[in-house]
Amino acid sequence: VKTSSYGEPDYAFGQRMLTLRTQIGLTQAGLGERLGVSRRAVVKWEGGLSYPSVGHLQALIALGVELHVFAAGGEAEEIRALWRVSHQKVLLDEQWLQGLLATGRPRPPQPRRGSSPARPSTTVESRPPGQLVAPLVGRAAAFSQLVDRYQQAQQGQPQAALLVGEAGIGKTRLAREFVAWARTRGAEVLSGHAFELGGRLPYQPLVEAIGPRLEEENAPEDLLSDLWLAELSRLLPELRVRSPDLPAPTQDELTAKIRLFEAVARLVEALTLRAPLVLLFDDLHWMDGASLDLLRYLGHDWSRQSSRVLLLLTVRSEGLGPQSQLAVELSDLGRDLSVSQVSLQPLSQTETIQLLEAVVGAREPGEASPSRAVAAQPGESETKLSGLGDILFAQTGGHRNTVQIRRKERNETRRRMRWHTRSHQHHEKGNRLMIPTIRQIQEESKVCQQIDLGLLQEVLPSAKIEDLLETYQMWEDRERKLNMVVLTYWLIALHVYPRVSMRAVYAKLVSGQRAWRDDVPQQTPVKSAFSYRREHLGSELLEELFVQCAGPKATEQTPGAFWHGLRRLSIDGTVESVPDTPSNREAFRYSTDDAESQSPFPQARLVVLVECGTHLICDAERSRVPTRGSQQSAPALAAMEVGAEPAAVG
Amino acid sequence: LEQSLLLWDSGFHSSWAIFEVCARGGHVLGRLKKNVLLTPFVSLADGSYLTHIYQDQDHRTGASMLVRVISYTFTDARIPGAGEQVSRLVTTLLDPFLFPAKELAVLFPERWHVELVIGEPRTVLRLSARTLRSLTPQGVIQELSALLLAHTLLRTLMLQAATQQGIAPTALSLTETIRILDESVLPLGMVSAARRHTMVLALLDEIGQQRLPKQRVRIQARVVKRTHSRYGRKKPEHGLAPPLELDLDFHQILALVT
Repeated sequence: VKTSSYGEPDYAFGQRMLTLRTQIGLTQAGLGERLGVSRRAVVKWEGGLSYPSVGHLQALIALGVELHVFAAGGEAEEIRALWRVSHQKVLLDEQWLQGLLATGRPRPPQPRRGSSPARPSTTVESRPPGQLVAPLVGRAAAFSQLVDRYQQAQQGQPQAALLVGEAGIGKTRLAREFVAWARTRGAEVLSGHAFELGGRLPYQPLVEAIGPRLEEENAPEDLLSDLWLAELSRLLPELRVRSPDLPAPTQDELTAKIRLFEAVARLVEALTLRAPLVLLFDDLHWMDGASLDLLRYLGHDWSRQSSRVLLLLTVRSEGLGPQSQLAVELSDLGRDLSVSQVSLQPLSQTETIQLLEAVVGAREPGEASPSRAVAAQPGESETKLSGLGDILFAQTGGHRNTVQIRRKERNETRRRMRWHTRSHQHHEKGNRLMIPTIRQIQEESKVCQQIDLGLLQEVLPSAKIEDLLETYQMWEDRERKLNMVVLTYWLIALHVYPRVSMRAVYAKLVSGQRAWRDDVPQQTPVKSAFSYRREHLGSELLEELFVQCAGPKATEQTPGAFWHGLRRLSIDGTVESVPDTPSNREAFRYSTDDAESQSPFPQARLVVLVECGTHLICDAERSRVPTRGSQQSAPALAAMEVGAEPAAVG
Repeated sequence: LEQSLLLWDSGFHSSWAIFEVCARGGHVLGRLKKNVLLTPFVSLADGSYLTHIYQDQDHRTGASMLVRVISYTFTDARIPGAGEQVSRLVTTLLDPFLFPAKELAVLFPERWHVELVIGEPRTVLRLSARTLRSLTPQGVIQELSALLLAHTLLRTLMLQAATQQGIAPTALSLTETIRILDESVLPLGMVSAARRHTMVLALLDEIGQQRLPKQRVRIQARVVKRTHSRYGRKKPEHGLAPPLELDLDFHQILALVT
């Protein structure tokens, strides 16, 4: 997908990108901002030095279609041609393209995840150790309220219960526990989960709730007559696959909605005749208007029929302001059903300790619980306890749910885009240096960073790397010991510990975490594993990380950084010798072509721009030509300054 | 490059480059070779002179711009070439009263910082290893990026430490910073987030204490110490020995000549 910067530049492609950008009418920086890449990346595309990743190309095409810069009529061909040039290995998703051209206002894949409030810390994202399940602590009152509701529903008084609380307080956890309990009581459970995109995907939670249920039903016709199944098949096209002879759903726009509602109502009705039904909709605040209308309709229907239904809804407290649409809808619902609100409060200190003890007890049976250990040896156990606290926080209600949900949302969006990853992976083996940039993240996979860069991690938090993994679509489909975050940190640390072997550097970085975390592998990977994974990581991510971190950082307060209000910068060239292998020789060349006087090793040439007051490298550009001698250095200088400009401002 | 003064050595001088920097709002102070920009256009009060540079310098055509040329020499007899060798600087800062020529000439040695920075990754982070370790171009680029990144992170950390102390970051020791970093990796990996934060602050404070002695005036002639070797030059044919198998030993590959 990418070419090395030393490969032959693809001028034709660069020209094309340039034309496209001028047609769109954006500057390089503007386009970069739109696509979430640096300006330098755009410069590289236009110089034919690299190709945009699939995600960026898609976003670019979407932008182009939206602004009608592709010649009308031939646009599909034009886009296909553009795609072919930049991605021989990944096929263009024709369905995506058709959808794009049809609507003209597509939902382009967002290369960069929207800034989520309060990014959870690494420890929270880490894999929970073992198969540890925290007990439900401090939720007894809420739980028994729900049980009350359920029992009333069982009597034929349809109920709605609303779990309200802040994000991450444990609403979903409680709901899940309750649903599990209801299942043991013989209740039928349907659960749907709205996510952030919900507002734009009508009926999505509903599809999630009834889709799987109908799928496991042997004969859906027993539940519903064909007429209504046909209506449902609008939402669940797979019904048509199972019973191809369904009549066509009504074409009448006016009645379509009401018939769909009626079909769902009848389905629920049929289910409640067999067993009491618990209908769980998670994260109501993200639910789309159409589904809310449907709930309203169902509520009315249930109260008429005295159905044995408990509607369980979880909602964030901030989504339920007095002015909000949701509050209005819920009060409407209250006219038909008895709606009760169950508010969740944060755990008290004693409850937290209780939880801690319970977890530790479950983990290390026979060992003294840490709170007692603290009492016995306060000094020694402190770190251990706080470490456990971190695990615990990751494990229990705390943030984990929100993290998982967010991740799930990400994955959902991602799955929607559905790129041809499989064909991609085949290429991976044959041509390892051509790194596939798209890896889909599976639902179960997690970023599990296991190494710690000490103080440097304060300057380069892993969130920064994760963002770039997102941008370059480099998430992998399974968790590896040497994941991308670990590799990045390790590559940096190699230069902090120059006299230590590659494996030993890894061991050094992981040693602290090994001491107290269960999920950190005790074995150090073999040397070839590092080389192999280095090839997977490629260089683009590190180059971009450097661009993001580099730049003049002195302020007016930094002594000696400014002279008469001018920031002092200094520029010079340097060479680094590289091992004398055939491919290096070809890519980097010797100092001269004359065999008698040339340098002993091929040389990689760098031009660096340095801030004198801080010794920070503001920019570095590799150049092919020798840096000594003015005429030859001019192009390198130009390239560098183009890159340096945005960083140097301010 | 806005509001900045870019220093460079004579190898970088070209009128095109000066135009480029000015177009981006920067200023230039660069050394000149002996044979360029010799004709004064206007002499200034402080002994420097103004002259024109052209976009197309070879043909003296295209847009022109005024630049200022400053000449100076050293007076201390211990410096080679003192009093005879004239160094010349070119700058786009034209005002002789705002920017006196002597101040500019005194500022120019600041350019040496770039040589120091180039030296830091090489001698401190790589311990002057003869070559990088990667065998493929892609790997080399990755390794170089990581090297630059490591340097940037370390220097950013030092800037933070220096800002806390209110001193110049260049007054702190890079090697000592690396030592503190090394010692911190294990403990920081073991503590909780809150404790970690206080530890980080303490460590930054400690980095801020690692002061370098005041730098002397440095003047470096452009010369290197030649290394001579009594062995012949390695040629491609010397690398031709095939990689030998692991279980092979000399018994198997040598025979007596009778």
